[in-house]
Amino acid sequence: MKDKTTYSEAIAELEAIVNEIENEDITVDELSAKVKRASFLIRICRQALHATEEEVKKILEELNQEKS
Amino acid sequence: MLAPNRHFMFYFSIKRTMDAERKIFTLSDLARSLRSVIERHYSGHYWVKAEIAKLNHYPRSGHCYPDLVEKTGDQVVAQMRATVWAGDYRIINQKFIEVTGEPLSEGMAILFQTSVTYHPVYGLSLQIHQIEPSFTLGQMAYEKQKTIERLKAEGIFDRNKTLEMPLLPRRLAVVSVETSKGYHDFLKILAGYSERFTVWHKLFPALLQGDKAVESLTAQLRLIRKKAHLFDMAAIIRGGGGDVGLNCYDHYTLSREIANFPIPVITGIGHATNETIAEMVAWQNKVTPTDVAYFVVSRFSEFENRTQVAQGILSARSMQILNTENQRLMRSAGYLRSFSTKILQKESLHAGVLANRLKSNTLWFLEKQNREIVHLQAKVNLLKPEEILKRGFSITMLNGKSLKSQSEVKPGDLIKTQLFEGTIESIVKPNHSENEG
Repeated sequence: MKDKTTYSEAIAELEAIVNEIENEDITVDELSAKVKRASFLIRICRQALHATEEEVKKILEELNQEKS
Repeated sequence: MLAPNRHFMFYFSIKRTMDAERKIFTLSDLARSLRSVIERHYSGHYWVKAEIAKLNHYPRSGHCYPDLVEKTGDQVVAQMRATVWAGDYRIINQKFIEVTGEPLSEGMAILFQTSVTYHPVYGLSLQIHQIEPSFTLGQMAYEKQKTIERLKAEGIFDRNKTLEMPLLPRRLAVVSVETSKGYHDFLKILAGYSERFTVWHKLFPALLQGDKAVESLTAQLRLIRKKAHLFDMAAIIRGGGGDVGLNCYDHYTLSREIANFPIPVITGIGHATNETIAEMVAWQNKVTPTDVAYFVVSRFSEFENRTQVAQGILSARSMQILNTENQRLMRSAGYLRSFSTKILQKESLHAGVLANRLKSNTLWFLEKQNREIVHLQAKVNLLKPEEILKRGFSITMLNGKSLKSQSEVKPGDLIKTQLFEGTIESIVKPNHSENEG
């Protein structure tokens, strides 16, 4: 696993895990680890989304200020 | 109409001189004679066409003494002086301007009504009474058409138009004059936008109309050409100077310079008559100086609008992407929760079933084992000594050990017999070993 997971990598992995679980392509032994990994990915994605949103808003705000 | 040769000289009133042999005349005699012949034989008014080689107009007196020529190619085949008196000149020139948009000027072909005069001092001269402006207009149109065709034949007529106008024309080379109203209108509009856009310009002063304009404009354009890399476009700005003397903009040299110019040229020479060649070959003809200025600022404001629209799209689109991703993530999180719960429930159900099975199987097994044990117990019980004793068997022991053979006892031994209930103690009788009990 890399140190810096990009958002798209993270969400792709998350969806893969969800798919596995959805298709019950998974054993109970793995379940806890998978759910743990998925939760970790969700957290990463949320953080990334939140950070991006904040940054985008800030940039757009700056643009608006420059305009006026 | 012209005087035939045979009239030469002999129509003079000839004064006899002292010399009987030779007839000698004074210069004035000859002049008078010439004058009389000319006045007699060229008494009418004639329509003549010629080219004005030099105008020779004297503003102080108002009189005009044009040199008229006829050329075949570059060769002068006839040349005469002409006179237009101040009064005639004013009327003729005014009418000429009304029709052609140009004052009488050098290089023009004219059709004029004239009478021939001869003056002993000033010589032969054509006195011009009228000039037919439509003839010159036709000539000018013809010349213009020829120039257009020439530029087209040279393949440069549309050349300036094919240049790419920079997105933001920020550095302008302006050919105009400081005193031109058009130039000031142009600057005023640019100044109105100076807080929003920075447009830098440099003025290249030139004569904008009249005889010397071609040379002056071309010279300034060539100056700009040398520094063309410093400019985004050139503008020729004129206005407020009246609509007379714009023939220069149909001139081949100037038009060629504009057509061939290395950066886009925009014209705003502000007149209402036919489009000149300079305007035709320019990158764009905006007609008025104000429209040239508006063209420049509109490039900037359009760019500004475009960036604003882009910003709006950017903003909306990024929010949209973030929303979509947020929903995607929420959906995944939801799925994860429900599916993993489902798996756990299912597995737990499975485990429950197994537990139940385990439980019932175990009980059954235990029961079965139990039954076996009971059975065995019963079997075992049958083998218990008490049970045997009960059936009447007894155990005889010597010193606590059960006897299995007569040989193990001697007479006199004390033996114990264990019965189902109670024991009997006995002494073995002597020598009766043969007797069987």
